[in-house]
Amino acid sequence: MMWELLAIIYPLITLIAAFIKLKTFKYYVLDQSLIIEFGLFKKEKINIPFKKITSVNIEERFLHQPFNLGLMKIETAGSNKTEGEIPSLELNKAIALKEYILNHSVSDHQVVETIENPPLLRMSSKEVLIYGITNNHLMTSIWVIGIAWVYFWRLREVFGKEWVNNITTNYIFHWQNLSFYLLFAMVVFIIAIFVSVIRNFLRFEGFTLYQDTLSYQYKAGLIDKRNHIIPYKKLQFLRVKTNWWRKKWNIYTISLRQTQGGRGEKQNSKTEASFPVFSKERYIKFLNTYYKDLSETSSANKIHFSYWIRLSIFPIIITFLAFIAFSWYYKTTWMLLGVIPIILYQIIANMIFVKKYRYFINEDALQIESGLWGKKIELIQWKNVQNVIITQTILQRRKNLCNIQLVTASGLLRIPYLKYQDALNVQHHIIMITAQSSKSWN
Amino acid sequence: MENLNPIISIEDLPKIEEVEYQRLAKVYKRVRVVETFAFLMAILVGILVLWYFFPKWGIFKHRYWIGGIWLAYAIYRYISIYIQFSYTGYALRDKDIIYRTGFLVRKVKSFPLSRIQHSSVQSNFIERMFGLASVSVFTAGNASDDLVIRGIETETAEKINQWVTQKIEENDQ
Repeated sequence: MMWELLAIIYPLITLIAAFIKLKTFKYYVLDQSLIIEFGLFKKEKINIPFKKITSVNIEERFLHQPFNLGLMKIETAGSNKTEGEIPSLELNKAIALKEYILNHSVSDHQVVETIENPPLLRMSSKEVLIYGITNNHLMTSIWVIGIAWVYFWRLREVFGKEWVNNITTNYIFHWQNLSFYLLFAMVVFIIAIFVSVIRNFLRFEGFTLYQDTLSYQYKAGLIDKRNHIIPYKKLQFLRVKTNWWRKKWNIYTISLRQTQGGRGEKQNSKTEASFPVFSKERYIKFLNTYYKDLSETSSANKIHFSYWIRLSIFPIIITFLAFIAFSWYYKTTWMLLGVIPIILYQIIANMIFVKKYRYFINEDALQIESGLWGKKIELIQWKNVQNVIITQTILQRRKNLCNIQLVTASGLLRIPYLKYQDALNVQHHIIMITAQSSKSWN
Repeated sequence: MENLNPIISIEDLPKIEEVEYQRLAKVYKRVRVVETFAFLMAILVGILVLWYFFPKWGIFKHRYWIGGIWLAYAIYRYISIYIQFSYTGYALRDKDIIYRTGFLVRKVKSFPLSRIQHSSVQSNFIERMFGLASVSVFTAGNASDDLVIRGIETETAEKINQWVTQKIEENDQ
């Protein structure tokens, strides 16, 4: 009785609350600031000065679309969470208000151009599909297995204990049944591909990226069409990543790393906007819009070759221990021979990794390129560095090498095993550059 | 999207090796000794409590090894206090605060003044007994990478804090 009553009362209260919010919700512009008011008993009034506003996002969620409405989110520099939100307003009104706010939020003489210029990047549905297929399916597979496991044990309630026991003894814990495992792996793999394709369509369908004088903006989404705005001010550094498989297809993922907001606030997905590009030229073009591709203009610096030792030590020890434990458990010695190719692979792979590692420096920016099978490129402007940490182990001291860490408002960048004097020069350069430019974490 | 910064010739700048580091207060060694003693005793008591309640736990067959490892760790900690103290230092410069520390791994941290958001002075119970305090300097970076200079006399710490605050205000203008 109690529950049934609740089941009626709860939706009723929600409905009334929603109605009150709708009837009392007001937003208006007053004295160079946007004011949002709502509430009947507990009145809330949010005052957002235009100058503080860093971005205005309009989202068209699934339920908004048939009514031609939009959800407007207003973000400020001070905090990471959305400062103000207008749950639904007509789309043309929303766009007009957004333009008005953005034009007034700029304290300098710059004027925001509306997104009428041709898009910088665009993704066709075919490209979305390919990006979904080339995803790393390992994580999704683990999820699928986990969910399958849970549902399998639920089946006990439906089909009875004996049926489940029959399956577990005859198939799952039956080591000889190889074909069952192969079939299972295949099914899981196909489901994983399916899941990531769907996810990518939800996320990236209709992706278009524009650039204006103050920000990058992109629209994407199948059901919830979202408009993301990434102001240059908030952008800390840029990362381009690809794995071996995607490199073959010429697919690169660009991530824009943004400020993580205030101290103690949870890091959320908003801090990293990432999307794919479908040729090398396009990512180079994108790097050029941010700063420029340093690998074309500056000379390459390499790190010291002895870094491969540091990279190999722990994997080698772990492999050794694993094999020793394995052969001890199964009481065999020939298994230890298996260590040799694995360790050889690790050593050679690390050597090639170190050989291929390079970084480029000029007076404004740093670009780090690394990767063995895939590729990782990081591009940062010196002015975005918050502090510099140089570390030196005993062995590095002997060879006059060190590691350098550049701490940004959106994570760390590292260069290992570079010459001590180079690191000191980098540190000095950062001190001089940051002293000239203003704070840029907002 | 931004103007290029003018190129600076690196040769003109003072080299970091030439920095004269301010040393920490000498009593700070004693603070570290007391703190380390408390820490080591806490570990020892923890082990003893476990031994008392689970005397048949297999790991306690190797109690001499456990004791030996604890002792070796204690010796390592005490050696590191003295060596680390002789190396640790900080310097306040025109454009940054620089701090070096370390025993096996040496660290030099540089915090540009124009990137510092705020600073604070705090002291724990043991530090207060010896009249010491520590200065923390915060940037927009990760909290674990922020700077904490421990083992400064309270008066000096307050002065540093004021100096940093003043510099931040100058930069904001």
